[in-house]
Amino acid sequence: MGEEPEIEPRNILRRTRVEVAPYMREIAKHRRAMIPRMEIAKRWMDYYEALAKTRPLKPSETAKLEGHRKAFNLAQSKLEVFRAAGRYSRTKKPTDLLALRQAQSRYYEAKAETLPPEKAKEMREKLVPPKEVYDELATIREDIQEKCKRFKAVKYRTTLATAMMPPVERYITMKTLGSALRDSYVRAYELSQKGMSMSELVEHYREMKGEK
Amino acid sequence: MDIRLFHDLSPRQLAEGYWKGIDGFFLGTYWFLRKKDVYDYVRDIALKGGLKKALGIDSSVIYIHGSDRILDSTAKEKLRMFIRPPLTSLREAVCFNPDVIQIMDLPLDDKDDEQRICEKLAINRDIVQDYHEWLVKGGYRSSGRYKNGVAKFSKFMLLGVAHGDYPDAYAEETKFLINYCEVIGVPIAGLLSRVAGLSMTQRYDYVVQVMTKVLDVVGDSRVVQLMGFGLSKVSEISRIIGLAKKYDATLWIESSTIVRNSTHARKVLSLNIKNPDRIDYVNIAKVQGAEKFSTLDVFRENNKVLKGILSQSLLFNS
Repeated sequence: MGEEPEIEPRNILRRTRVEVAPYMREIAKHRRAMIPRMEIAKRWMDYYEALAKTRPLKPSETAKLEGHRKAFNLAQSKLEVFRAAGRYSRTKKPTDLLALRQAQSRYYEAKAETLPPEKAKEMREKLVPPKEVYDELATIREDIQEKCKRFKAVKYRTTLATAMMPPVERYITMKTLGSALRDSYVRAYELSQKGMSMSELVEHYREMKGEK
Repeated sequence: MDIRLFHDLSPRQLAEGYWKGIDGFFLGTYWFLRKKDVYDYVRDIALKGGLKKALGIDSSVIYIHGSDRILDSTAKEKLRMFIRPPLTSLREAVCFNPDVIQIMDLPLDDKDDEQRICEKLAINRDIVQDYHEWLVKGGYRSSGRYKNGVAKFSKFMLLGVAHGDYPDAYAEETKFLINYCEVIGVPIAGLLSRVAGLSMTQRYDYVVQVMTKVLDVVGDSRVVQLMGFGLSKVSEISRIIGLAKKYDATLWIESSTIVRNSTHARKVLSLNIKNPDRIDYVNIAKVQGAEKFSTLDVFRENNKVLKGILSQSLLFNS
């Protein structure tokens, strides 16, 4: 016969505090201990989930529950990092290095989640390279598409105007469009680093490095 | 020893579910740089926390973010240069939140003289250091290292490509790269397609020579990625596996052949009835049971068969 779970806010709060205390002492002794941190977060998560069964949670309580959830994820991912790092330092195998990096990546993500969402969004936005680089690419792409369309029309005489075009003019148009197209492709691929020989490029690269 | 198979996939293919059941994938920048609103696309992915999260890809699938490539053309010397400043490319890669970031590199050309080769290799080394420094500055990588040169903390792995004009040059580049990179890439595709005047057997012999030199340096300390290993010639896999076995190495084989044969040509890897020793890509119409395969089915089948071949070859080599 199982007992009915007792959900009395005062009682479960006291029980949680009593259960958490030894883990708090352990953390005070061992700063890198992750399992007690996870246990603490788990107990508090259980507390708030049990509390939610008796009455709707207040916004501050919901925030605390979320905070404990994030703390649990962070501790768990850090534990994974410690384990993976220990394994890699013993074996020095590439497969263990891969596991270590993946654990570190998860830890980084968990830590980023502890930031407020607005700040996280701001940080991510800052990373995106300037819009001008992409705008230039888009302009060139449209330019290339237009020129290609015109080139095809002249070459295969698909429109009335191009069908009626005299051969010399047709030849000249194709030549001009061809070289313009080539230049556009060059620009698309260089993006404002046009027409440099390799040694000039090296110089340019050094300047660029100096500026940053 | 560990051998994994990587595929060149586009964002559209990833959204369609090509990533299910594969070891990892390689995403080149040319797939999304051709999109209409690239800036919005990159920003959207960055705000969603990376490509894997945006497309719901499983975290265990390894994602390698490629770098801008040099226009692959024999014409016009001026085409052969950087596409964008390397650090712009790196920032974009960080927005995509991959597992591995390929470092931008300048490939060598048959026509390059001694001085140009040295310049290109020097630029490549500079870029590698820049990438590392930028990541350290941004807090994505620790400056502290293990004794073997691996950074103690890093959110991303770096894939450095070793170039060279003869096998020992690859080894020299690798010696430099292992101080910064977790994955060493060897550009096999160029060796198999561009070298003039050699038969395919001789080209594969050269690839094995290069790989031997690289593995002499790397051994089992880093992952070695065979970039664009021509998987159309399945028989060559056993030689590579033999090498991996000898050095207890971890190899990542990357090739677009499988995707190309699956999605464009709709061909499945199948045994030839007349010559059962030979396995080849055959059109689905000729293979019993595969007539109604969709492109995704064909891809999954080919991936499964190739992984099977890899494990079988491992058994035979042991």
